[in-house]
Amino acid sequence: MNRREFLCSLAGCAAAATAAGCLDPTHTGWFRKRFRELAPADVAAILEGLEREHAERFGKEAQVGAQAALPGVEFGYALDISRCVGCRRCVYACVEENNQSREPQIHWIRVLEMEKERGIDFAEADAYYDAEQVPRPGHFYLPISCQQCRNAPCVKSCPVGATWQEPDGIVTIDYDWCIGCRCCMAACPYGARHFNWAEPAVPAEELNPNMHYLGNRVRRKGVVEKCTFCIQRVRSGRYPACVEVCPVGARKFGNLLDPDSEVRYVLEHKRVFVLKAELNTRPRFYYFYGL
Amino acid sequence: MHRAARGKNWHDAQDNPGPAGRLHHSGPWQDRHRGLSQAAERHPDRTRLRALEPSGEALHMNSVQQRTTDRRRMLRSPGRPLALGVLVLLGSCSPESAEETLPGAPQPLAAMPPGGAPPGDSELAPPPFSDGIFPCSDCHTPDLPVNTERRALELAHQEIELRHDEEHRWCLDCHDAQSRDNLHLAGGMLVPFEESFRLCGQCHGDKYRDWRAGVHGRRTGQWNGAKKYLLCVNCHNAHHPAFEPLQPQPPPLRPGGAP
Repeated sequence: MNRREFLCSLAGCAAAATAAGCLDPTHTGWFRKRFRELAPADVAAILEGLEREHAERFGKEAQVGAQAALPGVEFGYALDISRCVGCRRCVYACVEENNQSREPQIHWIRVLEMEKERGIDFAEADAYYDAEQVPRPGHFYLPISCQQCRNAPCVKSCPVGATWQEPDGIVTIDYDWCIGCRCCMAACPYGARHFNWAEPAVPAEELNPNMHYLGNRVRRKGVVEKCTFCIQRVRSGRYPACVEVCPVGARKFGNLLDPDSEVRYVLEHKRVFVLKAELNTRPRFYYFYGL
Repeated sequence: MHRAARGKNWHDAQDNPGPAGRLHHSGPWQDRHRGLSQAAERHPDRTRLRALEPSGEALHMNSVQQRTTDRRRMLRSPGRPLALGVLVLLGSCSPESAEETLPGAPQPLAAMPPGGAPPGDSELAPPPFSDGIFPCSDCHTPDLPVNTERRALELAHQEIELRHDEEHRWCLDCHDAQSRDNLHLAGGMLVPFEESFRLCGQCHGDKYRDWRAGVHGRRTGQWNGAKKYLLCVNCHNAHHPAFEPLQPQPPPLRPGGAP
């Protein structure tokens, strides 16, 4: 093969790849820009492509949105550990809402069982308790998911800028930008990030079709995911799924910038703490004693 | 901040009674309380009831607090002139007429302290009646004699197991013996089942305050829109309010399938 033939065949390959959508001239494929730098038309094209993909894969219509943060909103969460009974309803409501992989299993919320005598002691905490009934005497429960830190170590550790903090405080991941290096998982002191070791399996009949680009759209193998405060719900004014399902009303959610919000009431009237405050991650997820 | 300045303590409001509070102190409400006490002396069976309540004064404080915490809302509320009107009406009653409104006879509901309810645009869940149980007056007809003797029930409602300060209380401390389709506050004022939170709030004031702020209880709906409120009794059985233990959902799998 001489040089001319080689160049011709290279051009042919490029043309074929473009036709197959790999080298997408609309900046939505491999050579697209970062999500935050995309033009609205490109975002729309990407979302359309994702909807098509979901429809093909699950045989079910899905709406993938990319609603931006609401102005004047910074989300905060408060969890009453004096009420939580450790029933794990939130764990499974989250799995269903956010299309987490059933096999291999991914849970964004982990409920830790701790002994009242010891207090909060992560070394002795048990996430695998298997009780007939909860709460077990002498124990309390501490659910952990992403703390949506203001000073987020995961964001700082990402080498490619695939994870960032949105204006409303939600730390998000662009699954199409993530290279799967798992630096963020090593950096997170709360174990809140989860890796898709295999192609995630979500039963089509359990697929939640209300999706967000930065939230619960079905992930692919080799990317990291985590809680987004149910970005697809909260940006349209709804409560996160875990808040609504909690049978004891331990979970509170609202706008930290609104002095009349529930979460502000908790901050001003209850005994509140954050996890691992000494690390200066400054979480937006607060724990409190409501009783 | 308004809420922070208001203070955390149930009694803090005493130090800073709003316009409604002052009206309350000097107004006809107080006279009505005196009337209630006198009437209680004349009705020994009522005296028992009154001995169990925190005292007329305590109830009085309770309502002052409610008024104070909710005065902003109340000032906006269209019900205020009505409530004030009823207060004036009550004040103009002679002692005899005050006595006639006792014991347990229906008090006009508008005489209840305004406020104390969730914000006006919120949605309140209906009370969770068992099938066929309401209205109570279907069975408790005027022909059925009223027995106010404290006793174990034998003819009906035996399935109700009272585990809610049962040493000190029984049915008629909350249910009204005369107006069967209503509950009553410790002071005798009638409360419909749809507003039973007023009754619960008499003892559980801190929970009541949190509930009104949208913090006690399960939240559904919109974080930035109208709130949906559940009544206390939608989650807590009024007769044994402590939550029963739950069966938890399965634990997560251990990494690598380890047992």
